[in-house]
Amino acid sequence: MKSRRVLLALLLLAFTAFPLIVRDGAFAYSIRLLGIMGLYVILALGLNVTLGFVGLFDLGFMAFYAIGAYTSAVLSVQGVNFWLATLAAVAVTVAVRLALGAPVLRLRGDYLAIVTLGFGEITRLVLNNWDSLTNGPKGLPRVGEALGTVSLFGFEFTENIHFYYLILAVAALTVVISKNLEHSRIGRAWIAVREDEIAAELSGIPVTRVKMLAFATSAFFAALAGSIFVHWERFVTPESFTFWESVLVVSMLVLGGMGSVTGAILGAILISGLPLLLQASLGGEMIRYRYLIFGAALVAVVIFRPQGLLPSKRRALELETEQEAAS
Amino acid sequence: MNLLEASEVTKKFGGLCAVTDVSLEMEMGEIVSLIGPNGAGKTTFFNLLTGAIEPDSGEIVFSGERITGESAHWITERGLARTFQNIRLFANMTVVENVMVGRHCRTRSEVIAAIFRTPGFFKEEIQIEKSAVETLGFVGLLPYANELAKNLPYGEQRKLEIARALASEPRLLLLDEPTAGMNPKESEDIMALILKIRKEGVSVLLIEHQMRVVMGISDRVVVLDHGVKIAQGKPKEIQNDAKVIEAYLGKSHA
Ligand SMILES: Nc1ncnc2c1ncn2[C@@H]1O[C@H](COP(=O)(O)OP(=O)(O)O)[C@@H](O)[C@H]1O
Ligand SMILES: [Mg+2]
Repeated sequence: MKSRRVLLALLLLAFTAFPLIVRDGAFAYSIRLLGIMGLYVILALGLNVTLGFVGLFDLGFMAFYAIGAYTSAVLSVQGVNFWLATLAAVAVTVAVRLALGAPVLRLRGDYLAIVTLGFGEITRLVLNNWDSLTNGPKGLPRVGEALGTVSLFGFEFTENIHFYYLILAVAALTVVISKNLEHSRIGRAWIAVREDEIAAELSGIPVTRVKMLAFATSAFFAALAGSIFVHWERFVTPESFTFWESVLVVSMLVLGGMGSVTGAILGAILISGLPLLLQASLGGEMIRYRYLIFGAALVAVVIFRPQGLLPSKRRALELETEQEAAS
Repeated sequence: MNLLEASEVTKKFGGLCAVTDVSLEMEMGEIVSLIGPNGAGKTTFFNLLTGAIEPDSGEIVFSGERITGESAHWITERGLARTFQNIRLFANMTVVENVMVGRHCRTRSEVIAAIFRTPGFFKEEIQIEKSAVETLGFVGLLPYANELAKNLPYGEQRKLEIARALASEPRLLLLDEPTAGMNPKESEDIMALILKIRKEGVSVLLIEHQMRVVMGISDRVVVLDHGVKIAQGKPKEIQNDAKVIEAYLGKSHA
């Protein structure tokens, strides 16, 4: 546990310092890439709550990112400020998540995967076709409209680096929330449900209720990411929320280790960063093979390290002294 | 008032009558054994009592409260806990965590308290941990506290299931074949543990195949065969009951 804390602290330090070092150099563009990675970290941690902790197979997670993004965008073009729009995005996304979660609670495994996959696609189709609200495939804002800017105590977020730090702060927040929940009464209940739903219910856990709490938490993360994303990008179309994006977030958890917070972060950084890295490092012809290399790496992990790169560690009690006394 | 009153409980699976009109009363502090050949409906009866499945008819009252058709976690919270014939632990959680999960229905911390790590949250966490450690000590699993449940030896896994159930502070504990697959020494340990549990004021309903255990610790024995209660009484009486011998050994021996 200690070493992971150190790893997280070092990561935070590196990610805080890096943009300040490169901001005026030739690598200034990388700040934007790091911001995108940060959004994926938030999303991976969101999916980690439902898929990682509770074991609910969700193949349509990007739908909630989309709902958060669109709610925020729709309000923003009406002049609602970023923070209020984000709050509303969270409320709407959580509400939709709970409404959709309730009927599928009894489904498990592959059935749930199919239903959530369907929901992800339906969401995208609705966004594509609900012209009056979403402006269809042309996206928001419409011609002549604009999203509101983000400002905090009079400070305007205009450059990539501003958004980068906003994303870093929110990512750090979601890490802390994930960690705190993992080792709590509710977090243990989540993991117990993943391990054996029937035994959990019969051990006194209200399974339906704790699943709903997980849905709400994961939707909260997705909505935060979505709202920041549209205000940074200043533009949103349904094409940002395809099935493949959902699959990408699932692979982040597979790579990092299901249910592992540190693993989810690592998975998100590697998977969102690796193609970019390969693109930058592989010259000429090789660039065409970047997805092949990427896919092969994933397959290798699944075969040789099925628990992921940084599998979750369960907490050990500081029992050593008591143990010796007892044995 | 009886601790448990199950009246004419019936459950059919398709055409199969798994449990037919079974009634059972239990008093506080009793150890009752439920015996019968494989497929007699013993586990199904446990499932009905604990709310894992709903009876087709009949009524179950637990310490004065009707629990028929209520959800399983609610019934556990009322004070009725169980173990499983096929061990069902939270395999990838540590031993102590398995027991901590059992504390769920006796504790209150919610998501918000956990996120903000409120003083109340810390206080309760410490209390959960302390009580889990105590329970582990009670069943003799403390040396394994930090092992993953799946890495425990088989016999210890059975004890861990008992510890998890005890963590919810039951007044009635249902044990489904707790000595299955155990050697005589291990069965001996489980018998001692059951008596120790009763001393704490917990009643025990026990499904058991080893007659040595049944005869050794039960106040009463109830016999099921083909889903029907065919006999009940003191262990001595049951041993000599013609219907019971027939059910176990077949007609020719009766
Ligand atoms: N969920 C179920 N669906 C269908 N049949 C079942 C189910 N559970 C138990 N049974 C059947 O009910 C009968 C009683 O089973 P069970 O209660 O497990 O017996 P015991 O525990 O006494 O060995 C068996 O014939 C079993 O096959
Ligand atoms: Mg059985």
